[in-house]
Amino acid sequence: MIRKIVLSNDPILRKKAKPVSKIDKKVKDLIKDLKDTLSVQKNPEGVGLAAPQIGKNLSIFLAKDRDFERVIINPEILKIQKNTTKEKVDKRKKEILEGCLSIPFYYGPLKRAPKVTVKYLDESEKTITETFEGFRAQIILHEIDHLEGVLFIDHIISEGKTLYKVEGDEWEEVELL
Amino acid sequence: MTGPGRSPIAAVVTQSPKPLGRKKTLTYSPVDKWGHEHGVPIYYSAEELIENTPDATIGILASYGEIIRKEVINLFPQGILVVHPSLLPKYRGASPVPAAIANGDELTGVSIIKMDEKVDHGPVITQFREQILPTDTSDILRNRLFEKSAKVITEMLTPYAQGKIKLKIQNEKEATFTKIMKREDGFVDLLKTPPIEIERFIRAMSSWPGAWTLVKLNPTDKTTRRLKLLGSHVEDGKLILDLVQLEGKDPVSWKQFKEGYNAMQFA
Repeated sequence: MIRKIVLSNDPILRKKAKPVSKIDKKVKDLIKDLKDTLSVQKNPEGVGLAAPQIGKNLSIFLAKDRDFERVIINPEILKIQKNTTKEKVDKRKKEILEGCLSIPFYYGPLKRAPKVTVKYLDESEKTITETFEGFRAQIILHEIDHLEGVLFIDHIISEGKTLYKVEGDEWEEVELL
Repeated sequence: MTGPGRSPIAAVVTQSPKPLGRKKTLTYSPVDKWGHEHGVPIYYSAEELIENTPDATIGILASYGEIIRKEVINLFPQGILVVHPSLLPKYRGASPVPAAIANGDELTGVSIIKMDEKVDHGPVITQFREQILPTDTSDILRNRLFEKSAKVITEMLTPYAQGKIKLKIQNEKEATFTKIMKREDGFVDLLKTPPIEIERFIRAMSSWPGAWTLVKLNPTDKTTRRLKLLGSHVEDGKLILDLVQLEGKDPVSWKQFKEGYNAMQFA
């Protein structure tokens, strides 16, 4: 079932998600709902969706990037490659304008870790350890943030970056208070 | 999370990063930085666009400094708009702003034209005028003109794209030309040039290539030295130099310079 995606002012997005203790029917239905809901997000296009975003405070999210698709339950970051401190290299790492389905049409340039290794449970309750890179690492980190009650705009603010509002072809800088 | 945000700018072309300063730190142009922060593809030559055709209908070009080939112009269905800081057809070419100041013009402006195969020759889409102030140097005036151009471009882009603007062919008979400036072009003979023209010339040449003249530090010297003229004014019809810089030295006031080299002569 397609659920309504909660917006950034909903307090559930600020809570820490509870770990899933058993993948029962309820959890399976929730995963189905997440899949249905994410699949219809075309404007803006969705590449990841966490359970709190459809109002369920559980540690589950989806990540999707073309043929890549993961259901991730109870993730635990094992290793995270820090952004290199050498200014020269750092500067050239492509910043992607990150956006969020709970804050539609707002984008900000975020430089996340290029590589992250995560231990998680998949839908069949199998424990998996997987390393994600590039844009996929960015999705994983964005969604894990959701499970921690963190939104991408928190990073934009703490890093002093600019937030943009996009309406059609109009781009506008947003003042952050 | 959503897919990456996409800027309405499909790509930018700018000069490649260059090692600058004593430490030779790789310095990126402002356009480069902007492109990077907005996730916009950056190219270091317009030629690269041929292989990587941007998903764009209009191109905009300002202070590019290189000839754009027809193959590149043709990549843009609605053409490339050129921002040229003069009231075309006056002052076509590479140094319109210094030319306007050096000639003592009181009025200049910016023309936005549709590029064709000849330099600064295409039909005019729009123009605006701008006063040249008695204190304007080329750098100051150019900045002001381009800042206003940015605003004008954003206003005219939609009506242009919708075909609502009638283009005006330039009058070839009124065309004048300016050239790329080299260091030699900054030379001025202080003894033979009218003061008012020297004063304008110093502002016109600032900051590149900079006005300069030749001096002998002692009357018996066989060699001449380059003296950069950084600032001046005219008082009672006479030229008063304010700031000068001897080749290889720091800038000093004219008074200080004269005290240091009281036997100097203009060569």
